[in-house]
Amino acid sequence: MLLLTALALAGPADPLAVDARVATLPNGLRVVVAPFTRTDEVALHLHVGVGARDERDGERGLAHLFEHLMFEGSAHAPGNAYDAWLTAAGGDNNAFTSDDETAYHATFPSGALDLALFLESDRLGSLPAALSAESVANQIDVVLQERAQGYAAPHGRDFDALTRLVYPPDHPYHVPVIGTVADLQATTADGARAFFTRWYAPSGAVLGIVGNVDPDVAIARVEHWFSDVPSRPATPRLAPEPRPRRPAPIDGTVEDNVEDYTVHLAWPAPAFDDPDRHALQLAAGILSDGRGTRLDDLYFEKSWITGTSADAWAGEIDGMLVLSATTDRAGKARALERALTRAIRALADAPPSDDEVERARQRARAGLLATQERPDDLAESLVDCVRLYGDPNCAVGEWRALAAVQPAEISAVLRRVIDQPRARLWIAPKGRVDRLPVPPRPVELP
Amino acid sequence: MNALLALLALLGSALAEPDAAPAPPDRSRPPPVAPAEPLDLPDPEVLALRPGVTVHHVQVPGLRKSRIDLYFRQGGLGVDGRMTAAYTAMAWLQDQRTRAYPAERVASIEALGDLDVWTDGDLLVTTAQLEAPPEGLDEGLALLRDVVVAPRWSRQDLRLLARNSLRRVLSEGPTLAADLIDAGLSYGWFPKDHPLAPRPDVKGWHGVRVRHLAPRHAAVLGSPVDVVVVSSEPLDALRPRLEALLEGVGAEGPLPEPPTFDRPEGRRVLAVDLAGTPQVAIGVRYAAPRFDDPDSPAFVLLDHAVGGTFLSRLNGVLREEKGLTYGIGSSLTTAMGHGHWSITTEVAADRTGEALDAIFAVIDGVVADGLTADEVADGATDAARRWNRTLATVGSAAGVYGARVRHGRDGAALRARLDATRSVAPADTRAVAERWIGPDSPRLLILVGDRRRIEPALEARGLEASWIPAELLILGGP
Repeated sequence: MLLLTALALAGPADPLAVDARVATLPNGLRVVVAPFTRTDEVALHLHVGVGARDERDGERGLAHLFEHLMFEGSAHAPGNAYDAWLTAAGGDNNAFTSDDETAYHATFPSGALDLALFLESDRLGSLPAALSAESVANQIDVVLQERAQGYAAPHGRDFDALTRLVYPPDHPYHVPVIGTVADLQATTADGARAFFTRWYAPSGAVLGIVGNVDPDVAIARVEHWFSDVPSRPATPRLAPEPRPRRPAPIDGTVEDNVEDYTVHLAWPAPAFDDPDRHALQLAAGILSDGRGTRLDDLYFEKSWITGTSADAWAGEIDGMLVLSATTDRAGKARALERALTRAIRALADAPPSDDEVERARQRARAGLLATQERPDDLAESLVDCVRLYGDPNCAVGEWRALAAVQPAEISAVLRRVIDQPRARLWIAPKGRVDRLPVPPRPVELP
Repeated sequence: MNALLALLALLGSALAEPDAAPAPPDRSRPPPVAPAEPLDLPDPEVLALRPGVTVHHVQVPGLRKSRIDLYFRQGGLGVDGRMTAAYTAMAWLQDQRTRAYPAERVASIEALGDLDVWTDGDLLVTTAQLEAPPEGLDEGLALLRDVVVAPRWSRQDLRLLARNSLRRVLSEGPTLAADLIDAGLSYGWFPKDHPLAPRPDVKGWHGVRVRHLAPRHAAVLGSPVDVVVVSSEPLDALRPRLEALLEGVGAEGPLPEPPTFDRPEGRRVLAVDLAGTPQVAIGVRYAAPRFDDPDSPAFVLLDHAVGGTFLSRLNGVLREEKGLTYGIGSSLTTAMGHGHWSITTEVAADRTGEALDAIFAVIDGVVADGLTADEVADGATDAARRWNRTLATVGSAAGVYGARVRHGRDGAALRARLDATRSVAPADTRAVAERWIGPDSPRLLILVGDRRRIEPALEARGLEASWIPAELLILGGP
């Protein structure tokens, strides 16, 4: 029978606490439900535990391609029925794929809850039966066009080029999520079906529902609609230990449809389950979250700097710290990198002030609170909490961890990160890569 | 009796076969959907604080933050007769620093209090806005007041803004396909010097100085002001704080008239050569009914069905059937004084002609047959869904009620319009399509990409383009 575990670990007075319920179905699907009654809307968020990092050689891009194929019909909702029926009911939907996950989300009026669960469970239970060679071939064209469009946009190749530099070839995050042209073009319907069977098991999925629903009723309806989705063993995921690292610094260059010269300095960083993550998040905030932060001051002080940013990102098996700056003067490129390096080294060498820490901390708290403003954001946040921490109220724990970070820790963690070999990526306007202070080392995107 | 029935039901369930498996879901047909009817949205409580200063308060239970939006009824048109660099700089830089606080302190107050204060300006209004949680509301209102009545303009901020604005137009714009499409659709549609398509004020950005901003600020402060408040707190609790916020701010005066524009004549094709680019960006614009035009409700449905969703006709053909694009969409502008409807997409350069054929075949199909009953029903459902989302967040509520105030629309009129949209018949859409996007309707087509790939595609279709240098188009065209 249904295993119910009601979880409300935080006190009701805590604004970050959510009155959520978690259940696990006999087939392994985990469900998290929370009420949100300001409108009649319901948000559904389905996480599937497969991302680009799980692809094998020869199937690079299949996780993301599958995100498209999930809208191509299932056994009892053929063709574009998922879209058509949900839209007719007043709903909308979309999906995304990352290195770590594939996620499907929809919002709809509460009266369409059964329809949405019917559609979601049908494709999770029966998609391979409906998958045709024609729809696979068509969606390959669409994805190749998505890739071409993304890479043609200014700075559209930066992130993929950077991940190829930061993570070595044997790292699961090395290949772009969009995949390789060769592997995409070689994908067959049989290959796609095998991928689905391997990864789309209910035990590897988490379903979130937030909206104008009674949580008991919602869980009962999920149990009903997903009861015929067969249980399958979850496929073990790729998480190599130790995580592959570059032995030495690495450089790359990209010629792009831009007017400025940009330098990205990046390092591997703590993953989501690393206790150092919170200190690094605050470091990035101290460097560049708003007016008066350290990189922002650089932008205002140096007339030749046209932009700065710092970002600390944490994935399931690894993270990345990226510092970026741009200039409109090629002759200032070397000074640009020096300024960026000095700023990060200064923070690594001396603890930030209490004011700086508190400001970054409160910005982070505002970010946590912001995920609870809308049913769709809350559904995604709850699903992430359940899949990563097994606790729908992980935002409370996140805040506690952020609140406990001391200024000296921020510097110490930052030192540990930037003492690793760095990746450096220069972006130059087309035809002007020779003006960079480094020799051209084009980063190929496969 | 009910208790007895309940007891019997309980006994019945207890006596049921303990291992009886629940019935599997019936997948023979989609489950029925309880249709969502439009919600009754509250009308704002209106309070005239004094002549020229009006508060519109909407109480929404359960909101984490309050939102206070000040709409000064004086924008670039009233201040300078058009959107100028000086007016834009005044509106954009107002929230950067005040006489009391340097920029860093303003940012710090916002971060520590989870506050957001920002200012903006457009053709008709200048806005100042605050979002604040209950515990930070007083501090937020104090900061908002400071920003509104005592901003401090800095030469450094102005220099950076001018530099970035000029770079955006002069350096980046000519290289960005999306910017060129926007520029082409706007400047190719509206006549030169029309206020609805202000050309970049390059001369103004070169010459703007701090001394130019204060007079414009004074003009704005002395205009009528509407204050839209969305909060879980009642108006009585907020009134003293609103009075303090608005002391000495706003005055009676005429409200600006929105500019009008009917439609251009004929059909034009503009093209921009970005040599060597692998993608071609395409934009198409038609005239569309104004907000108060009787054709407007049907055109809303037409927009939704043709380019409004993944399921739209354009996506169905160009994306799902032909794999030509990652996505194609339409957008409808229905202002009080004008309306237009645009389609934009990107395709691989060597499939430009195929994409043009597919786009215009979809348009021709709608003109010939109108929308299907299903498409009309979907559009009507979507209109109700958007209506029902009004109170989802403090931002969505503030946006909807702010637009009502700005455009002088009351709740009953908007509800009547929603009802009109929901009662459009499929036959209506055919007639409306014929009037607005039929073969004789004015149309602007713009393509941005490699001329060697675009030109043959146009020639094969008998289309002659005016080729415009990117640097010229981004400044407003010839």
